[in-house]
Amino acid sequence: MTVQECRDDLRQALVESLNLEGVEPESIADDTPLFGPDGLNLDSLDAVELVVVLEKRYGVRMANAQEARRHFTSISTLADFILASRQA
Amino acid sequence: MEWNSKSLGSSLQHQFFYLLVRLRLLPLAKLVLKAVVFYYTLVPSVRRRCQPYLKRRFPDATGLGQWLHCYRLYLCFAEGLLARCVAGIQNRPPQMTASEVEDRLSQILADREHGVIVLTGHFGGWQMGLSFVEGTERPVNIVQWRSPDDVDKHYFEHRDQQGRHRMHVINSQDAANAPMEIATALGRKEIVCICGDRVTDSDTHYLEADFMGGKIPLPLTAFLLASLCQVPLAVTFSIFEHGIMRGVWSEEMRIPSGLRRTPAKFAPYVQHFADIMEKLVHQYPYHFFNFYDLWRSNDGSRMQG
Repeated sequence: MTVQECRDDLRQALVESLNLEGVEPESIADDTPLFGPDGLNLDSLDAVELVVVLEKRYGVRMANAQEARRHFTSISTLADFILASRQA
Repeated sequence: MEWNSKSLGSSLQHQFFYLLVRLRLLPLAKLVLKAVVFYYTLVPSVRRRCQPYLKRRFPDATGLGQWLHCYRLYLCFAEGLLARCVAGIQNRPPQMTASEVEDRLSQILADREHGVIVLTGHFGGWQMGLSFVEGTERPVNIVQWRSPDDVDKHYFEHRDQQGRHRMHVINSQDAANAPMEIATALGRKEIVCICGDRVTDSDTHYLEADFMGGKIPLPLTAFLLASLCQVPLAVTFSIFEHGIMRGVWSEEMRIPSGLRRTPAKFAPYVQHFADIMEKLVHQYPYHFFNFYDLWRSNDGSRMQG
């Protein structure tokens, strides 16, 4: 999976799994913040769902909450994490 | 009357008991404890704290009978505090009978890729009761809400100072991060303990359930996370009686996935948990430690399912 493929797949997964109504996958930019009012405004339970999605869909697991916070910044950071974890 | 975690006694009073325990003067500590409890139950505001519960549990009691129930309830609570102080300071836990809890938890964890949520309530000194789960040799996390006014130490905090094994506390006041901490702990196959009978300011989701002839709000946290992370809820309680801490295994609950966006679908599970607690309250009337009016109608400031 290339970086671009991973990012596109993540966009799709976010919209489907987190039930982001009215959000088109392609409207999420690589650097759109996942949390906070300036971005997708996901909440703490969305973050938990995201942890589950990462494990089920990509087979990668967050070691701890600090790591999750670091990588759950944007589509771009998340894709980098997934690809790095799968290579490791 | 709202719940708060402020300790009834002052820090000095707690230090006095810690000192007696350090000096191994346990019989004296027990004697002083009875006197202290007697004193506090003479204070009307202290008696009022347990009346909402006792009036439902013992509706026919009046006058002296009512006071006696109050005294026995507070004494039971205080004895639990003293026992956890002894367990923590002297590293001498009370005699425990919890083989069923340990066995069931070990069975649940044996073939799982994830951890388990232990769902409990404020019965019989729940934190010390959770030492049962340490027997599974999995790291244990306790989700806990504490205020700066809560001065009595938990037994694992006493042990902390002595450099021994500790339980990891997940601060539920940190509502933005606590769910993530819980989810990642479950991903590491750890045990997460949640006391699910009190709605605190950090609980944004709750449902009402029938309990002892009225409605009480119960937090959805444990049920939501069990559904999202697809881990079982191991419903267990601890009862401290006659110097023995008894683990009470209730059951393993499985919550279907996909319920998050329709919280009302959690209602049967929440009600079932309330029913389990009600049965326990009838069995152990002096071991239910919620010293506030659980039935007080909520103020609507939180999101209801």
